Amino acid sequence: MKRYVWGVLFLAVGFLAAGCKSTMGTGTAVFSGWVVDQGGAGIGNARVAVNGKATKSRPDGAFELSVPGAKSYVLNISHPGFAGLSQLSRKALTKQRWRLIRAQVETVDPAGEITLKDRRPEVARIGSTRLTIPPNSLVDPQGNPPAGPVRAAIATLDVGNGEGPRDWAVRSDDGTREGFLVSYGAVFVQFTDATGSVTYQLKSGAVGQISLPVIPGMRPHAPANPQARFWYYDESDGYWKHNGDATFDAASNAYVGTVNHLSFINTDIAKFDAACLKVTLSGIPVGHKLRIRYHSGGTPFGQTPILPLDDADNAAYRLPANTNVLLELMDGVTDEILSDMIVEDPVGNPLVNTVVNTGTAIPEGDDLWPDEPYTPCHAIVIKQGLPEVEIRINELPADAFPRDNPTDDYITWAPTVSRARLVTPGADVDIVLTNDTPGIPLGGDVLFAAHAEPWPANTTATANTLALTLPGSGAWVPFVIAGKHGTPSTNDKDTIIEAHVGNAAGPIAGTKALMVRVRKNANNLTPGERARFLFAWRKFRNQGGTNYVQFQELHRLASLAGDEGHMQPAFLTWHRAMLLHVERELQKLEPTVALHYWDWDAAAPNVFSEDLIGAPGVGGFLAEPDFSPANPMNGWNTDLPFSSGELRRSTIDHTADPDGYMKPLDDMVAEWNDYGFSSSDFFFTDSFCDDVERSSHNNAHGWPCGGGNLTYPNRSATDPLFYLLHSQIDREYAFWQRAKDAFGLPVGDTLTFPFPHHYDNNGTAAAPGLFIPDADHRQKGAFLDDGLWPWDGTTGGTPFTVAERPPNTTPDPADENSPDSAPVVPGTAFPASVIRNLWPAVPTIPHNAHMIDYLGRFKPADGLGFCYDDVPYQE
Amino acid sequence: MRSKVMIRLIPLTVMAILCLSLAAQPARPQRGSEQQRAATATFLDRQRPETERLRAARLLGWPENKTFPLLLAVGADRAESDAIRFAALYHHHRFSREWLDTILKILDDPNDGGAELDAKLTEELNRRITFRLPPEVRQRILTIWRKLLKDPRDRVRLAAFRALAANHDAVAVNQLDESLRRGSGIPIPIPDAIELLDLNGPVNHITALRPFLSHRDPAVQGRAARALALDPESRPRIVELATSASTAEEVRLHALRGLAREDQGFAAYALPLLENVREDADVRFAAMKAFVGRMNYNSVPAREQIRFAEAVERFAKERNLPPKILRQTAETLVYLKQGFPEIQKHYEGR
Repeated sequence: MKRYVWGVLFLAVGFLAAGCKSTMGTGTAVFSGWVVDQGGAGIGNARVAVNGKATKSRPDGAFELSVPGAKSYVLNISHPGFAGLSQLSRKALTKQRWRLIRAQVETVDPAGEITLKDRRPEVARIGSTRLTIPPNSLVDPQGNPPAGPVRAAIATLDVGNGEGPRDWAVRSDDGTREGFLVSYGAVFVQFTDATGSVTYQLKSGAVGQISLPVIPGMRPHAPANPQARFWYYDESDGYWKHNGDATFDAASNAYVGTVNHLSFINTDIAKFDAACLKVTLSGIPVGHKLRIRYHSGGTPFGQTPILPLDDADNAAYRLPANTNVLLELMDGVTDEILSDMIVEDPVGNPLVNTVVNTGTAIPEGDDLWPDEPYTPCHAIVIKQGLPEVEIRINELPADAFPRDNPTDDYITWAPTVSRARLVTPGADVDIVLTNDTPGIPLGGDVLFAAHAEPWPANTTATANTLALTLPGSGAWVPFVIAGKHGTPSTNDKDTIIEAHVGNAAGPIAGTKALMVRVRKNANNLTPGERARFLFAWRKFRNQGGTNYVQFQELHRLASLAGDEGHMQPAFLTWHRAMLLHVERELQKLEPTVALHYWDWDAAAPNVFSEDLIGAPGVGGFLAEPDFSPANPMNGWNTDLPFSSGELRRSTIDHTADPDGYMKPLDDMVAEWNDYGFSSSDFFFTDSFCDDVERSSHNNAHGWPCGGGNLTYPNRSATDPLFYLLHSQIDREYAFWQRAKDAFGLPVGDTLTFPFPHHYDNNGTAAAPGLFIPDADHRQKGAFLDDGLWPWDGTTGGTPFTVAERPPNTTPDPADENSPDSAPVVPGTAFPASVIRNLWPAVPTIPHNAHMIDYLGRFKPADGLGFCYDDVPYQE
Repeated sequence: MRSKVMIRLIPLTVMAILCLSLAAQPARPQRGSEQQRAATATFLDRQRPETERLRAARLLGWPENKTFPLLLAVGADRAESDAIRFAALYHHHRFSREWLDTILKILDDPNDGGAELDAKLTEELNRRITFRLPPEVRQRILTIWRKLLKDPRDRVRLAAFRALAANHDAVAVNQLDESLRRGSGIPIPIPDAIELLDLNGPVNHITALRPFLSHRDPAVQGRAARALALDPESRPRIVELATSASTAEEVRLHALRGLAREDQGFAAYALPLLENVREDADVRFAAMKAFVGRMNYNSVPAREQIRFAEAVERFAKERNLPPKILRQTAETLVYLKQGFPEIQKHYEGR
């Protein structure tokens, strides 16, 4: 028990002693910090004095100074060539960087009249001070005149931005009342010997003529106070002293008059209703500063005190009472404003825009400098708010887009370059990106990867989270995302990327909503997906300009002689181009949609339903499919000539499993390694491309429609089912590509497409020597580098094709199969992708080659921006 | 009393059995799987009962390559039943030259196969001849089908007309057109003939079709009304049919569907029909559905849209409507509010 009591006493004494060391009126106070210039560079050899005891800063500007403990301290820092700096404090200050203002320095002859005019560039904003002193007016502290020329320094101070002495204490003329000044403008003037060690003052009875400009924030107030006072700052006690009378000169926007003391000179009105703020830090490290702007109706006025935040509790003294002040947290090192501060009252209510009222004045006679716990002061708490992180999708690191483009916030399984930054510059911030948003059960998910340039081929993002350091400069940091296979979006922008500060469980400093948009099994669409899909088709069918009818016409014309789209290797690539074009047009109208597919390897009752593509019609041989009244396809018009425009499909039950009527995908993938050169022989099948077209595609066109429009190439695209069918065909191609790693040119012994070669309209090989095809294939469209009609604008007649394709802008009204409305595809090129970083960046003539690497596995920018829900990028 | 209950229960029982049998349908076997091979063996086994073989046929899926010739052999075998032969040829999903030759040989031989087999093979062939069929092959097929236009068997003849009309074959279409004009010697049932001319493009057959607008058989009159809605001369009569309570419901429904596509003045009689609570619910529902269809793909004045939406709103609140009509009417009202800005604005303002 005894030992316990002694232990407690020992600890208590030790604690008290430690506390006294730096803060109490007894013991020692240790001041430390750095003296820096306006650019943040250290200033060596600066004089740092506290309560009369001085030291010099080291070359890097650092200093440390022990002084006897006191109730208050006056810290003065000076250096020849800079305006001095002074700070009153209750405590030892240890973490601050003291920023000196560079002065205009010149050598003058004290025997003659001296006129100093501040010509530094800064004065263009705040005005220039002019000081004239009569000849032989200067004396040293002992009253001796200078022996020769003296060094003169002048700096007009931007007190509205925190320059000048940090405190504005005055006493009433009779010395009985404490008060404060509200500054109209200030200047630093100093005369020294050449080394700066001897300071000269005006000798007794001498005065200088001064014109001191009014700072911008006080210009509206100056005319109301035509008479004011000049004050000088007494560095020995930290009080401003009367220095002469001033008169406002409207012409020069300055107070003019005489002064009898030189140091900091200030035009001011003394006030005696002072308040103070107790500022408690919560989560903000010591070492920052608090800038306090006086506000009147939102307009700043007077000086701007800067309070060093060197302790958990701090006090700002001698503020005008009942006045709104705007608080700004300044970085202790850079002086940059940190935007992430939150100000609360003591019970935790946040204050709007960090504006605080200083509260009532401290009663007359009470100490305007109350000691801890600063009870008379209006108490506030400042907290570290979160940095604001901005995330953008589909933007390259070097892009200079001023605003985010929400229309490109759509991704697939393919890697997508994105970037993040701090919105407001400040300190570097470590963030962790996550994508695990609770509360959005059907939302999509993304995976992350660090950015690499060039992006490695066949690689996508695979990490659940990604740690990034966002530089305080606000520079963009690139990263890569990809949709997480198995969890695509179901609604627009239902995938949320979150930027957590520190770690994945840290607070969220920014979010980005995007959509993992993939082509899905149409049998499994949610009601919302179905509704958007159908609405988009209705809009596309009805709109002017590029519309549905043009694409049905495109397919009709493509199926005529010289067909690039059927019975040759371009069957898959040509249709992929057509589908992509249509899908992008749909997405302009409804960005959430993709070309969903009809998977015929199982029953698809929800596809052939009155709520989607139409239930089988009733009666007869072919009938209009049955749509529910609320289906946007109800009333669909095929625009076929001589007809009522009704869709026609077989009346057999399409909702049942086709039972293998179309060759199952797995079988085709297992059976064929070669993409194939194809053959014009209808019955010849020896490759994947042949088999897909004949065993899957052809049967699918017939199964639900035998004899209906979908059966015939010149009418098939009049039925919107065409697109679900061809999306399935394209999915089969994608599935096969993945199984065979067939995304590029020759892979092993397997060609992913017939030979790299170009064949022009005349049947002439553009690259002779590479490969000479047989006559069967000596036609445009069969080779990797052939342009695709109609986007290439060619007509395609050759000795080896039966007839010419029509030009892509002219319909054929004489042809009875031509629809009522008109052209094929306006323009001659495939339009540029709305989403940046996808093919094509500019309107382009598509070649077969462009349609192969749809995920951009070799180069993400060659990606086409679509994928299938069950065809992953990787395992 | 008891027998009445039994009579009511019988259809329910049949439906339940049907549903159960559908639900019990085994999953489609993988190609090359034991299940598929077993089904193939069963189907090819002539010793097995026909019902068992036909059940096995449903599990054939996409046959293995070695199975295709075996299926062709069964399909060509006159000793097999027509049902088995058709199943064999149907499940030969590959459109090979051999398959086509087999089919055409059967169709070309009046003594090979019964009416059902020939008709079904014609229909199946029609489903398979898609896209870039070589011209000479197409010609072979058309030639044989044209022969079947004179086949004495009604079922076969109908199948041939359907297949050819779907292919816009002039021979078949002209034969139908002329026979309808004459009003005699019509080779297939009149509703089917009208359907095929409608399919071919009713503009080309208006004269042939007009007389049937007054036909007594609702199946004929209805199809004629739908096909002729694009004929301005016929339209007043079709409107009369659509709006008259004495017209058969089947005719009214066809007439409304056709008129909605073609008649600019559709609202003038479709809206009163929908608004008339004494009208038949099915007709009102058909008018509503046709009107939305018209709005989807035609320009309809805002005041008509709003009047229509309000009528739909009242319709959705009526009692004693069949549940499906009630549900779809309510869905339609939601759709109208979402899909048409004028209606949306109207309801937002209320």
